[in-house]
Amino acid sequence: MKLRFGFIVIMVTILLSGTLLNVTGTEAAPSVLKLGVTLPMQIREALEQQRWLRLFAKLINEQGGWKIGSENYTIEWIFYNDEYNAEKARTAVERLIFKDNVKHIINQWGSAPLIATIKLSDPNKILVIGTSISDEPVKPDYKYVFKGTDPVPFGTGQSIFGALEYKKRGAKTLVIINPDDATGRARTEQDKRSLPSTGLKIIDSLFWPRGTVDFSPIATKVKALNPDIAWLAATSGEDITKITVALHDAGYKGIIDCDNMHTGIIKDIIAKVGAEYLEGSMSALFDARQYQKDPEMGKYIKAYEKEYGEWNIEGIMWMGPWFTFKGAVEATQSLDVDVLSGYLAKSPPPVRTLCGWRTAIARPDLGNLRTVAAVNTLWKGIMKGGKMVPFAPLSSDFIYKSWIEAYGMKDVYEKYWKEHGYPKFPD
Amino acid sequence: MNLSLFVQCLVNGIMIGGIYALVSSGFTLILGVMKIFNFAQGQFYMLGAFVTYGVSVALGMPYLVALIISILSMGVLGILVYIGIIRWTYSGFFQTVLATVGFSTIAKQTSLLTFGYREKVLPAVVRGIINVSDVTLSGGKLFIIFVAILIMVSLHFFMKRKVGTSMRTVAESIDVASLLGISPTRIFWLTMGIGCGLSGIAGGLIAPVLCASVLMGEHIFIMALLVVAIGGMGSMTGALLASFVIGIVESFAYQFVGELNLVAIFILLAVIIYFRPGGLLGKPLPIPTAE
Repeated sequence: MKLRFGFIVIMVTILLSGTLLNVTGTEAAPSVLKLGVTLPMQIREALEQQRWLRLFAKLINEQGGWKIGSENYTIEWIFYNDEYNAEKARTAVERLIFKDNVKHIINQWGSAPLIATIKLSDPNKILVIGTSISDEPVKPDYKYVFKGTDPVPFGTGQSIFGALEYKKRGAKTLVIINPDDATGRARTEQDKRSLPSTGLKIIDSLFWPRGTVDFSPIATKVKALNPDIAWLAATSGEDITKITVALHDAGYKGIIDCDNMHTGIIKDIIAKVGAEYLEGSMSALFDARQYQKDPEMGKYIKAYEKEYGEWNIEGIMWMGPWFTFKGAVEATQSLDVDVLSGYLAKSPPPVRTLCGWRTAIARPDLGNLRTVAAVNTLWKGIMKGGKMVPFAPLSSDFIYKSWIEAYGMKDVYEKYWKEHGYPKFPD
Repeated sequence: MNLSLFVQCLVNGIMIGGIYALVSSGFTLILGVMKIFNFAQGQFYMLGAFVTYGVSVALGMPYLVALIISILSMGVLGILVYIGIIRWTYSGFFQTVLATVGFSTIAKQTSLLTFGYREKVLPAVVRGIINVSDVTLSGGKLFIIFVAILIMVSLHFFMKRKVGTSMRTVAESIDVASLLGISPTRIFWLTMGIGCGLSGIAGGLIAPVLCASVLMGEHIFIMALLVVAIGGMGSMTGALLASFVIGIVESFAYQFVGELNLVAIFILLAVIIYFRPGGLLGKPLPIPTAE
């Protein structure tokens, strides 16, 4: 009897304690927002994206979580390696969706992995915001897919800008060199459409299989063709170093142009072939510290340096999807995939990113009037004395218009602008 | 195709052929003496590149020291693989194949965890370019060709000595070798040590010219298989010949068919196997008949 009475007293005490704790306002533990992504971990750009995504989550979590609607969330990232391979990306995305129960895949990177992802994610109502050169993700077939960074317009804009600058220096011909996959092929098509409008002649377009280590045969062919410019375009990471060194060793003496020439890569190349070899080469300028004036972005830059004890720029251009997602969530105060998709599809305000602005645009040329694509701004840099220094900013309007004109889409877009208005660019 | 392009392609082909020769000679030696397919041969190449990177860049030691350490460390690792794995599965062909596949997977995944996916770039060892008329010859490539040929010549003379004769005896018959007082176990140690060491030095040679990458072992293993198929199973001379043939064909083919140049090699393989089923210098395998 005494034992039973004692047990009852203990249980009542526990229950009352629990109730009192709630009454006195102890906060419920924040919910966990699981975000997922697959990235090709053998490429520097992907490793840096991972770092940035972790940092953004950490900053939010350290401030007590992300208040969305009436709930407070801590962010938990789930990363898988897709090795830039469609099959591996698909397997990883299956895991994200069906095992990890992720509803938002943010910063998916590269055409092959992104296309593999959206074929699975869209029927399962998963929001995907990613980056790819391929136009497949922005076709009207998909409801929950958006490009946070879209290399197509800015790639075209900066190609045209760079080509015109090289032409001023007397260049007349170029050879396009790209990886032999969806990204490389799409970028080659893009450049074949846009570069002739600058007056430069494309002599040939060469492809190399992903995983190539020895670029001597390609370099030898480039030397034999002897273009004024070796146009590396979609090449990224250490492949830029290998191709550049191979070109040097083959005796190629022209200009090497590459969109993705980062500090680390420049350092490696100079160590092998000397600074003079890259003199005058242009690239997108990724070191945001050289031009970023926005205070919020400045805080992120400082936080990166503090967190990792170093500064790397390879991820900066690709964080558009995160800021697009963040902007949409904060505007709608919702994580519901339909709500977020609806917001993003109807000309949301531009968002600041680490390297400039991201403005949502529609693709009437593909029959898609939802604002699923993007114009991203960037700076152009030039190699001088072994360093990449700022050359000129490319505005959203320049990028947008030069891309439309280069692709011969003026009629389609003029009709669209008449009915829906011209995009409101912030710069 | 003009003369300078021809010479350039030839030099490229000889360079990469030299690397194939080192790796496939090691593979052929192990296959010929021990009768096993070492599916981990490519990973020794990869590990050799990383050892060279680690010793020369991370530890700051001279490159030649790194190269020597690369060959010795891969040789020792090869012996350890024999003692720890192959010795226990040697009685069964497929068991040994699976064991080497398993080790290959372990080596690659461990390397991924240790070094990550990012490729490691080594500074050039031999800088400078030699210009002969319109032909550009890089110092790095010429160095590889020189060292590869030196090693192959040394290996050739080594095989003519008593140890080499013992290896050939074991390759012919383990029982006869035992009767002659030759220890098959010691020969197997030596074979694995030399075979894997050759791959290691190949990795160490190529790393400053290209890079050290965790994924580099897979491609080179496929090329080693092609070399063995074209050159003839168990024939060192055949492997040497086939390596340079493949390297040169790969180099020239790119100028005509671009990224489809590997197809040219497979066509070459088909043609050679059709006319010489055992490869260029090998013996055809007996076709089993039902009794």
